[in-house]
Amino acid sequence: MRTSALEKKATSKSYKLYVAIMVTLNILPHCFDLPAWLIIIAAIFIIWSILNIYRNFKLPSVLFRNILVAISAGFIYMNYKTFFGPDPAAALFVVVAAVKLVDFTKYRDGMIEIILCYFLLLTHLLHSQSLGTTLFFTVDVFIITTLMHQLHKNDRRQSMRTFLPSLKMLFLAMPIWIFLFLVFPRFSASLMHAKPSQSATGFSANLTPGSISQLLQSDETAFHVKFDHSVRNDDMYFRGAILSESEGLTWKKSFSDDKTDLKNFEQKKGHSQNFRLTRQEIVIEPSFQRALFTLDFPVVVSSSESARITKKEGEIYEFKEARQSRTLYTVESSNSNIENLRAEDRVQYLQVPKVSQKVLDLAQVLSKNTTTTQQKISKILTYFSSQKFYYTLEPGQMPGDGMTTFLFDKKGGFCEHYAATLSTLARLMGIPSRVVVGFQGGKFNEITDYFVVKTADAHAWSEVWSDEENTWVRVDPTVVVAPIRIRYGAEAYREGLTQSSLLEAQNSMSAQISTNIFFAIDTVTTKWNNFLLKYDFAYQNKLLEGLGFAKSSRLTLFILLFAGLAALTAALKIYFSSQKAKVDPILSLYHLFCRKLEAIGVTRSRTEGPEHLMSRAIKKLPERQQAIESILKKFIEIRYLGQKSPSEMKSLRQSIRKF
Amino acid sequence: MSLKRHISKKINQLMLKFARKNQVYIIPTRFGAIFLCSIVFILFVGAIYSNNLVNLLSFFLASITIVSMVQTHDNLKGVKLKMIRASSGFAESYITVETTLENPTKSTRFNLEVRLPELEFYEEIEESVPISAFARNRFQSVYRTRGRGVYKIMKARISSIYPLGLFYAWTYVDTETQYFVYPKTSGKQSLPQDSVEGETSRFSNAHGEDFSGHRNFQKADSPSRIDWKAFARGRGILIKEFKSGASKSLLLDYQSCPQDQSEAKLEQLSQWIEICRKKEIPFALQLPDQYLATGMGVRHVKKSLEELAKFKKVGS
Repeated sequence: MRTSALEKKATSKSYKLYVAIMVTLNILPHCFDLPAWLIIIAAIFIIWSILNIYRNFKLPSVLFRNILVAISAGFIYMNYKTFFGPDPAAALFVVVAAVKLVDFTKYRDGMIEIILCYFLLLTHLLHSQSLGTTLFFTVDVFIITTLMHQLHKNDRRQSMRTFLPSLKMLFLAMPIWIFLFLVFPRFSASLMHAKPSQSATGFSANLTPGSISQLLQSDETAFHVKFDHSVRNDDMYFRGAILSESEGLTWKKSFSDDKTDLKNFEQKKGHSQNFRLTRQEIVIEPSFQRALFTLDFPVVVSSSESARITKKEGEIYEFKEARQSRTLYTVESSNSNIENLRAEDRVQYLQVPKVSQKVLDLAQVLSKNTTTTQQKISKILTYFSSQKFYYTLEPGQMPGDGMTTFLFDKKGGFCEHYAATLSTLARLMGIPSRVVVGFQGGKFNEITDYFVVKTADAHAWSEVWSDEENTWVRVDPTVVVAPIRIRYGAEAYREGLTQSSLLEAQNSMSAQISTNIFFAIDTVTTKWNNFLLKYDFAYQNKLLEGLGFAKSSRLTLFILLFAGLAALTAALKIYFSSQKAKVDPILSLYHLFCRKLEAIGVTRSRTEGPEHLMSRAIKKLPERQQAIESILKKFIEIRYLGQKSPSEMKSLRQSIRKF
Repeated sequence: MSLKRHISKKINQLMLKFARKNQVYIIPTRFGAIFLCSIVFILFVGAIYSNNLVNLLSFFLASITIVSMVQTHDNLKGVKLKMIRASSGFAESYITVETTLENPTKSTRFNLEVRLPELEFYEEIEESVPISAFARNRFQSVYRTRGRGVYKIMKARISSIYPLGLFYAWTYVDTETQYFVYPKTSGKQSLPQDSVEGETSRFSNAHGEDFSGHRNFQKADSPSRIDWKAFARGRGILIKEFKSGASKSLLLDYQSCPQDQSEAKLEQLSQWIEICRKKEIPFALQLPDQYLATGMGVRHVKKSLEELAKFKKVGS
């Protein structure tokens, strides 16, 4: 079945080098997700194989290779506790693909490397679905397939022209590819839920100083959000989690949180009279696992059928399982809470940690001469603004009792410090309060109408219960300390800009260009992501209905799929047949000439050769001797001596036409 | 391994029996099967993770599979077997078969392979190259021989796994050629001393005889007998002739072979002929029902060996 030519091609130096490059290219995207030792082993083997190609470096023995693969597999198992799932699979593929490079002696090894590379790409796609990944994916499948094609093309020429048949093949595959994507019926029911990947940057259960500042360093997009009506930047607070257990500067989710049940919540009376609903469509990146961010208090939350949603404390919603991929969900939020504060919850929201006497005294002083909740809170806020508190991302260590140090010594911190302190002080003053973590702000992209919320927009603020209004009130102490942070976003703050310089910077040319570039990239990304996300069975249905299929089911799609595939395959066959002109162009020219001779009375007999014909024709037409001779001599040259060049063909054609 | 070989041999025989002429058959190769399984697997992964990019990958693999299937089939269609020529060889050794394929269309044919399913393949002599538009290519392969005899090659199989090695397409074409398998050279006897009686040979071996004159070159003459000096003088290709009083012309007689078995006798004769060929000794061959007069040269040797290959035991 396999020729020795195949084996020779597969094990030729240049082909081995191409395969080494292909494997490297496919291992590269895994570098950040896999343990470093694994990548180092892979790199060693790749370099080893390249040294072998160029310098005839001695290769490791079979035993050594097998032992190394076995040990690696053991470590991978220890690391992941399983071999199933994208990460351990990727790890295994990386090791095997790299080790296989030094064990490259046969055609078979080449094919195994090619299939492994497709699988390496698959595991990468499970990790990331960004636009960049899509581009990488496109280039990568073209490279792998071209190499696969070159392996089976017994062509020893080394020029760019040898790649043309590969490109042609890929080009021919394109319509089938697109057709399959459009028509192949999607089954979106998740059959198996994967364990959360390790690389997720999440909202942990605790709010310790520094947990948000880590997020602030990131430049990644957290989610995209679109509103049905305009929302002011100051109101864009996306709630993600409620922290109700106070330990001073550190806050935790309540322990009873897991036991909360939807039915236990008490509906707020007379709620429906005075609230305003905001509809949001949010596309969230996979890195936040279970967290689900919404404006204010959600009334309706819905997502694709594969992502189930559950309700948590404080009218916060969460995904039941940690997500692995980008998810789209829609929310309708009310600007005020729907549920009442129950008596037992009030107790919980009033619990205070052990604080120093100084803090207790401060709470005492602040609550003097105040009666309403609003007065008390504004007292605290005034205290922050009057005491020269400042906003910084690097407040340094807070030794001892963190809150005391922060309040009376450092007087500098960021949103977490302020929210934690304000909520604790409020509790000391008898106001039920809690800390909320989530995102604040976002950049508006005019082309897509989406707000882009970045990981750096992560924020923490407080919510206090107002007995007078019978509602939760959002209090953001950061507004007092660092209004720029709220108005212009975290990015502005990171760069340490003041208000005037900020305005100046925003209007500068370079800033505008970079903003525009950002939005352009974001637009393409968003469009592509949304297309990939939204293209499911429901979307296919809509498409079918648009085509005039009244009631479509998966069966209709399957019928359409097979009919279309048959049609496309038939089209391919027709295309290939049309490529086969049955007559050699030089012969057809000769026949044309013969017909011309026939017109003047020289008929070629079936067994007559051109030279004999020439002598007969000259006898008949002695005055045209030169023309006949030159034509037939040229024909003999081209046909039998293999001197085929386009220019000679052209000159022959012209002289025959003239004749 | 032997079971595998046995099964493939049986399948081969069945195919030979039932395959239609010029019909192109196609099946997935081993890697084709692995590839198809991979596509199904990736499709499942795409459904499990609701990941459209993964779906896109499986659709891509499916699309190149479909194209490669059509293209493998197409790569073979229309290819013509223009010529087949088999060398002859000794039993239990090798013969070379040369075939010429023609591509009568303007699309280049890549990675074609010609095999003779009736013979046992040994190796390919030269790397095959693509057959460009309206061109012909020569293929040479070596096959093993088994027993002595005259064999016919009735079928040739042209196959291809181009473009991706996922599918194997093949077609059978009828051929009409034969080859001889000479008895293998074995036997311990040295050359017989009997010379042909009543025949004066004009042939001589070149060693130590007297030069008697020139004659014109004939195709069957050994190059070592050409008078190169005369050639250099511009007298054309001439053969040196020698005359010797004690001209040796051997008679290789079937009956005089000491072996009992007829096959063993033939093997002995075969070996003697080989020795004569190497030493350029003229010989005559006496078989029970056939007599070849004294001669030497490539043609004579070939004729003699062919007679041995054709030999049928007297009385059977």
